Amino acid sequence: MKLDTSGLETFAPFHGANGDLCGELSSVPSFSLPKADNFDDFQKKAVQMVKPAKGTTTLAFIFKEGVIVAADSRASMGGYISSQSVKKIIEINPYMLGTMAGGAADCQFWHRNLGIKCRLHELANKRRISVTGASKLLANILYSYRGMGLSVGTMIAGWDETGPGLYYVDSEGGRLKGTRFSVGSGSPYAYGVLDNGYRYDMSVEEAAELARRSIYHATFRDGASGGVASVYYVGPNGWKKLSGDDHLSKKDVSKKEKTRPVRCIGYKLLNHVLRTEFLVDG
Amino acid sequence: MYKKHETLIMPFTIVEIQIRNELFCKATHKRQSNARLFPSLRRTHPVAEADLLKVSMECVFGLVGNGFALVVADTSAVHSILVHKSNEDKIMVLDSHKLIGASGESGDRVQFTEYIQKNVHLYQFRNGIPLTTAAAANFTRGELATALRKSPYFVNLLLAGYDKEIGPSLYYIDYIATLHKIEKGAFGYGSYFSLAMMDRHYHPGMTVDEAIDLVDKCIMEIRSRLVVAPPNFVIKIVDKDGAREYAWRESVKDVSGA
Amino acid sequence: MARYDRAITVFSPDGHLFQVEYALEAVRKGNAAVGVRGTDTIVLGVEKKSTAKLQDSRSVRKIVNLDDHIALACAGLKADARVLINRARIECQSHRLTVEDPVTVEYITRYIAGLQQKYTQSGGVRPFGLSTLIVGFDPYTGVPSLYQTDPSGTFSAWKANATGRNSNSMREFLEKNYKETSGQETVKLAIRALLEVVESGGKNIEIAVMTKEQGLRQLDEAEIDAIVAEIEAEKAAAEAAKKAPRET
Repeated sequence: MKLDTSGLETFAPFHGANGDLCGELSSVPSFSLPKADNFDDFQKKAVQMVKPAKGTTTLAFIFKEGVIVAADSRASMGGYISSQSVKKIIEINPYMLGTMAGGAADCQFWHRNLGIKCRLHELANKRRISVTGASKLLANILYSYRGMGLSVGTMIAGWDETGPGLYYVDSEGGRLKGTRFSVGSGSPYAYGVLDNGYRYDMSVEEAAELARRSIYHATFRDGASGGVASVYYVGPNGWKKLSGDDHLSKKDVSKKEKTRPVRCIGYKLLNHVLRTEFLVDG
Repeated sequence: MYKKHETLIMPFTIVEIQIRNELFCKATHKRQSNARLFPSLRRTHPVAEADLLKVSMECVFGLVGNGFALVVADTSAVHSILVHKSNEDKIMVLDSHKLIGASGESGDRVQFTEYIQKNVHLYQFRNGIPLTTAAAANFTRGELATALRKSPYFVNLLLAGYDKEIGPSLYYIDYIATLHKIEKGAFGYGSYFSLAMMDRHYHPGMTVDEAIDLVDKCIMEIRSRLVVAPPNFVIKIVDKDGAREYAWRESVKDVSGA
Repeated sequence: MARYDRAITVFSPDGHLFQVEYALEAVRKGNAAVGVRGTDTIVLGVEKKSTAKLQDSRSVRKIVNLDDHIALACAGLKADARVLINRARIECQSHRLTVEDPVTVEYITRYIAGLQQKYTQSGGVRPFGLSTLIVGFDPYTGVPSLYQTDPSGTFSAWKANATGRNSNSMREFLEKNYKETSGQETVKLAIRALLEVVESGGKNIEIAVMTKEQGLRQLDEAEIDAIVAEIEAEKAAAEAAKKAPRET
C-alpha cells in the first residue's frame, strides 16, 4: 500500500500560484488501494489501529488579555499509556498554536503542513496570515480528506491583526469560530470547570490557573488523560509557555501543593485529589 | 462528418467546471473517484440508502409574509453529547436581498453555503446585476444535483429572497436536490413541531408582527416538546430594504460572547 | 532573423521576445488610461472611443470592479481584457473562499501579472495585449494603492501613472503636477492629465472614483463635464493672469 503524499503539494503552492493554462486535474491527491478482499472491513480495522491515540483533554479560551491554550500530556493506546510527556500543543509559528486531539500522527503532520503554508503566505504577502485564514486552510484540507480515516480534533489559537482568534477544526470538516472550546475525551469535565470559572476580564495569571485547574479536573476523571498540564498564553507579542516543561516540575503546581508533597504508591492520583481539594477550597 | 460533434461545447458546462476548479481546488474530483472505489466512503449515498428522510437535530424553518420572508434557525453546534457553541449562525446572508438557512453536517453546511455565496457574488461582478431569488435557488439545486451522484453534500436549505418585481419568495431545497417554492417550510427534528404549528396558524399576507408571533409559538413548542431542543434561535428577515438579522431568542446566554 | 517573432517562447539572438514587444506596442496604440492615488480617494480615468450614433455607449466599460474594494482600468485589446478580468474576479472570490479574507491590491496585481507572464512562456498562446492599472484600498490597513502591470508580466506600484496612447506625455504631466491630494482635487488632477491627450474634452472620457467608504463610483457625463468646465475656467484664469502683468 503506497501512500501518495502529493496531498502536500495540492495546497502547497498557495492558491493563485498555480492555475495552469490547462486544467489542474492531474495532481489530485489519492490513495492507491490496498490488496484486500473486503476493503470496507480492512478500512474499519485500519481506522481502529489509528484511532486509539485518543484520550486527551485540550482547551483554549479567549479573554481580555489574549488566548490561553492548555492540554494534558498523556498519550494512550487503549488501556496502555504510551507516554506521560507528550507535547499536545503544537507551535505553528510564534503567534499561533494548535492543539492535538485524535490521531497524534494526523495532528502532527497536518499542523506542520499548516506551519509551512502559513510561512509561505507570510513570505508572499508580507504579513502574517490571520487565524481565520490559517484555520480555514486546515479545515479545507481536512474537508477534502474527509471520510478517508483522518482523525483530528484541533483548536487553532493565535493573535493576528484583528486581535486574538480561536477556531475549532475537526476531521469531519467542521470549523467553528468561538471564544471557548475544549476537545478530547476529557472535554466534558474540563468544560464543567471552565464554564464555571470563566470571566472575560481575568488576568493572565487567573486565566492560566483556570486552564490548569480545568485540565487537572479532567485528568482526574478521565482515565485517558493525564500527565501534566501545559499552559500557553498568546498575547499581542506572540505565545509564551507558562507551564508544563517537564512533568512533576514544581512550576505548574500551585503553591499550597508544593508544601505537601505526597510520595507513595499511586502518589500521582493522591496528588491530584489533594490538588483539586485545595484548589477548590482556596 | 460527426467530427464536429467534439467541438460542441455547452457554455454553461465550461463556466461550471471552471468555477469548480478554481474555487474548490481539486478536492472534489478526488473524492468523487474515491467515493466510487470505496463503498464505505460513499457517505450517505442517497440512492443506496433507504432512509431518504435523514433528519438532523437541528431546527430550521421559514415563512413568507406580506412583503417579507423570514428564516429561523437554531444556533447550536453539537458534537455527540457536547454543545460546542450555542451562538453559531446558520443563516447566511447570500447577497443584499437573499438569505440561506442551512441544516446538515457542519462541514458540508459551511463549505456548500460559502461556495454558493461566492458564486452568487461572482455572478454579480461579472454581469453587474444580482441573480434573482429563483435563479439562485435553481443554481443551488443544480450544484447539489451534480454533487449528488459523486460526493453528496448533506445539507438542507431554505432560501429566502426579495425581488423588486416579484416580491418575497421562499424556496425549499433538500440534500437530494429537490426544489420547491413554498410559503412555509422546515427541516430537522424541529420541523415536526413547527410545520404543524405553521399549518394551523399561517395565513397568506401575514404582517411582520403576526409572523414573529408565529415564529415564537414554534420556538416555544420546540423547546417544550423536543427532547434535544436547542436553546437559542436566530431570526432573519428579508424585505425590500434587504436581508438582515431580525432578532435572537436565547434561553442560554453564551458567556463567551462577552 | 526572420523567424524569431513566430514562436513567442524563443528569444532573438539579441535577447528580445518580439511577441511580447509587439504586445507592448498594442498597448501603446490602445486607449489612454490614467490612475491617480490620493490620500482618501483613488481615481481611474480612461479615454473613450467616440461611440457610433446608434451604439449604446453604456455597453462599453473600461473601468471595472474586481471585488468590492478593487478596481481595474486597462489599455490595449479589450477582448483580452475580458478574459483577464474574468480570471481576476474568480481569484478574488476564490481567495475569500479559501482564507476568508478579501484580497489585497498587491495580491491581485501579482496574480494578474503572474497570469500575463505565463502567457509569455507557454506554447501555443500569445501574450495579453494589455496593460492594467489596478487600484484599491488595503482591506486591513485602509492604505490606498495603485499598481500597473504590462504584457510581459512585470508589475509596479505608483503614486500616479498613465498607460496606453500618449502615456509618456501624460506621465510627464503627472510628474510635473503631482501633489498629495485628496477628494475632488485628485479627480481634477486625473482629468487634467487625461485632457493632455484627449482632444475634445469631457465627452470622451470615463472616470471612476474609489473611496474607502463607498467603493467604486463611475462619474456620469454631466459630472465630468462640470469638472472639465471648471478646469478650463481655471486654465483660462491662469492664462489671463499670465498675460495681465505683461500688459501693464
